[in-house]
Amino acid sequence: MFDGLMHGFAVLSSWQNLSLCLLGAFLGTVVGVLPGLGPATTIALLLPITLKLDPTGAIILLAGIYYGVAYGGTLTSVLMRIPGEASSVVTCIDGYEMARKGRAGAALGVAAIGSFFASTVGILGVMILSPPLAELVIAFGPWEYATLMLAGLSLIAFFAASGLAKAGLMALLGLALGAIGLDPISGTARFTFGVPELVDGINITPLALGLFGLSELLYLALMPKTKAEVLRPPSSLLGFLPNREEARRSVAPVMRGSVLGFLVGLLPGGGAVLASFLSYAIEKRLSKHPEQFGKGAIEGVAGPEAANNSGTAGAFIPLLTLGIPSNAVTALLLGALLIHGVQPGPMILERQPEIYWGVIASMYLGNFILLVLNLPLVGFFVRALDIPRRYMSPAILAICVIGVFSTNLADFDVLLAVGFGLLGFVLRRGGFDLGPLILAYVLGPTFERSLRQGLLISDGDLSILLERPIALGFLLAAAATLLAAVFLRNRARVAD
Amino acid sequence: MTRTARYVALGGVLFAIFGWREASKLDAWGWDGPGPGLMPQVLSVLIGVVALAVLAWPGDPEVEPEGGARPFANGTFLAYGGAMLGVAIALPYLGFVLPMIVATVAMLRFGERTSWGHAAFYGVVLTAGIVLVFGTALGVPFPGGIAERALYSLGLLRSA
Repeated sequence: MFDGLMHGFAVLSSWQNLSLCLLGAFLGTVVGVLPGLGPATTIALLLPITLKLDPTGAIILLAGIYYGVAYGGTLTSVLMRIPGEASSVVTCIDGYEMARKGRAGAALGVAAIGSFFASTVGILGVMILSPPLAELVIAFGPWEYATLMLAGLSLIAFFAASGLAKAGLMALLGLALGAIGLDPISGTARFTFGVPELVDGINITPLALGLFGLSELLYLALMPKTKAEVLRPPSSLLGFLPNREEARRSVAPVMRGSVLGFLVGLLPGGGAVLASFLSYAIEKRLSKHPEQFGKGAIEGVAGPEAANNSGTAGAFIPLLTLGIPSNAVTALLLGALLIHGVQPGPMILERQPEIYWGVIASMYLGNFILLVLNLPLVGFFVRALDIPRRYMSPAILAICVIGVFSTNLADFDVLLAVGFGLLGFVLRRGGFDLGPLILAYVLGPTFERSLRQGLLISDGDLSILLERPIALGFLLAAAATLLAAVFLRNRARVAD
Repeated sequence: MTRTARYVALGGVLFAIFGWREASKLDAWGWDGPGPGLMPQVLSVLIGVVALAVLAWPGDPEVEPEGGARPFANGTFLAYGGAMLGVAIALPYLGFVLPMIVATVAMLRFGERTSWGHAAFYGVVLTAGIVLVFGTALGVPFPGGIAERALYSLGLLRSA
């Protein structure tokens, strides 16, 4: 493991990779600060640019954005009560109240230090757990893979805020979009509806840029032009240090949040958002002063911030070792790797160790950069909020158009991206979660290949599952998850 | 939210019907095992069933995140949507530069109510910036158009 990490730092030590790590962390923080532009949108926008990079550089840049966003979102949560991105929603509650009491520096300081600690714990977890997990997964056959993906998609539907039916529809639509084009085995055109341009299938770039980039543009158009009040951050670095009492009360929540976030991050559909909410609920329950929650309790900042950062790291385990993303952002990272011809999975440690260890090393460095960058540059990042919509929107459109065109040099892809932009807008307005759609789209081809291989081996006999305990376990887990989702929703409806 | 969710569900039902029409022509099972039609047929049926479920239970009638603004009565939305569509349609004929300048002017003038001069200035500056960063510095190929051809000859862009 140590040798692998050293190899990772050697990969990272090139000027290009170091610059990409720094750029990713910086861009991620800026994006995290801007309400609306989430990590998925930014990664989608930068996806075409990474085509010019080698796979290691591309994933280092995109991963930097991913964990940079988790830091950046905290700033606006504390200073403006506006979450820069979803995983910072919880921090608004007590972080903003602390800022109103003149403790903005302590809230930001505890969040930054706690996040750094939690990320380090998360990365250590990735390093320790990935190799044995990869060895275990190597023994998986097509049935195990197919049912594992089914269980993953079920969990995503379970956790989706939009409800089971809506999330299920999105997942099925994603699978259908992934099936468009030539069948990889027989070469027959499927779901093309007579459109010749669809024969090659739908590339991830127009889909991601449309759903996340262009739909965001349409959402921005409807947002009222209001300027939120920004509370003042401390002017000196000493102002970010918590006092003795705040530091003492933060230690245990940071520890708990780090472990909880990491474990939740492993789950498909889990990730940083769920981790931060769970951590807040746990801290409130364990606190000796639960009445202070919502009025500026430091535990309400320390725990969730640690949890969302270690959740971000934990999400890399299923991505890198199973090739299965756990949320929309890691699905886009997987898409980026696939574009570069890299197939994440249990063999990545053996076949492309430079990518695996390069990413791990970049996570260590990126988190250190974020700790060093974040607090001194708070004032600068907050000023990013002053960029008016009228300047940002045409720039997003231009980047989307040129990004989509340059991937395949196809005019039709740009039209397709605009179509997906409109679709994404309608879906979001209808309360549909786009995460299951992009996840299922990315997983679809592998899922179908595994399923067909499994059916071929068993000659269509599904009773073979009884002889494969792991596959059966995954299938039962998927069924139990779906049943639990239906049961819990019905119970909530009855309670209402 | 519920009305939009129902429209989406109706779209899902239509997709399922047309998808089934196309998928049913393919073999679900051949002499060598599962055929190309298996997945599309299963997906069409499932999409239809789940879309009907969403149609019946479209969720809570919550207020939309943007405050319930009506898109088609909103000038900014229409300007942004028109600009997006305009660029995509004009791209094969006029390239990137000219449609992007026009789209930026439309977004700023009609969507954001800035002056014509300001909109045109920003349109030119933004497009020039994109060309220099993506085309000249990163070497990203641009679609062919009148302006692009001039830029190719100046060595600022490379042809697609």
